[in-house]
Amino acid sequence: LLGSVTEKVLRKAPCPILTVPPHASPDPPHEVLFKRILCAMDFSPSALQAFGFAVDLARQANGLVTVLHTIEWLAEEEPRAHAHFNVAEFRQHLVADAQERLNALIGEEPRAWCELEGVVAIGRPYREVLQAAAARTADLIIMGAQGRGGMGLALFGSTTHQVVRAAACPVLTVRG
Amino acid sequence: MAHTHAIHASGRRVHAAQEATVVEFRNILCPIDLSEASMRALAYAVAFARWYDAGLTVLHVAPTFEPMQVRSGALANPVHVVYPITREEIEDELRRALNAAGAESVNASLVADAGEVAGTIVDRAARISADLVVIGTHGRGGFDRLCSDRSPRRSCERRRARS
Repeated sequence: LLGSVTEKVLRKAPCPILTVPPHASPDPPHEVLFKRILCAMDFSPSALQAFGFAVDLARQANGLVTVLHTIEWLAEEEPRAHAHFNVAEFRQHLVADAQERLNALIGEEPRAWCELEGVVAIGRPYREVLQAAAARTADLIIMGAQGRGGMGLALFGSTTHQVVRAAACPVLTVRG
Repeated sequence: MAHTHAIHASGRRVHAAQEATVVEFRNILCPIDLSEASMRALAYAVAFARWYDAGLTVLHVAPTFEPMQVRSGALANPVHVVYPITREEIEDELRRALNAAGAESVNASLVADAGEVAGTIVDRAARISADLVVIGTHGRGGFDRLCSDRSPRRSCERRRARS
């Protein structure tokens, strides 16, 4: 499933991995201060661990963490006549539920000097992560190595894989 | 479609901070193939090592250090012995790369290994109890394209030609 050296290392290494893309700033950083961090959140153990990293790194830089949860809901069309429930209403319910979970997660975070923002999006997770990172000119993306997918490492997060390949900024991948 | 809700964390329950994650890196591994992409990763690794006062291991993995017998063309052609880049040559290149990355004040060690690239990196990470691996990627091309398309010797030659 996964061919490249980076992907194999991401799958097997026992510790967090920072992948640095070719589009990253050519100037070597003198300080490790990330002001705008995007944290992908699917509430899996590794995503929650990634959230802890994001908050502490942002605290060091007095930065902002955007915690993004994506609902993978692809049926964007209007409900058909034979649908037994209101699709738009159900989707709205999913968004509200996810926002509530994000607010609870962020609300539990006790630290000072770090701004936290919870965002719910609908779409393909990797696209939403990349779009949100670009829109906020994020200087770091943090995400869990294993998502909620049932096959775990065998299908090592396709979202992580896609984000690492296409991100314009460094990506820190954290294990749960 | 996105819903935004901003919350400032200041003024919350500070006593719970003891349970929160504190990011601290002590042993950083940076595998490089001496390409420009991996030099960028090395710059980040050096910055992290300096910031966290961590040890930095810079690793290069070559396919082999042993001489190889190669027959070119037809079976009747003579066999040539090809000498790959030596461990010492790689270590010299790693030293130059480290200096170029401004790592004078960093506690760094240089390692040249031979073997399958990803497995060797993972093994080395385990052996030094790395708590962070910093690795460059070519984006859609993948790190292994750098390793397979460019032999260490050719990468070294390119670096020498540029400098």
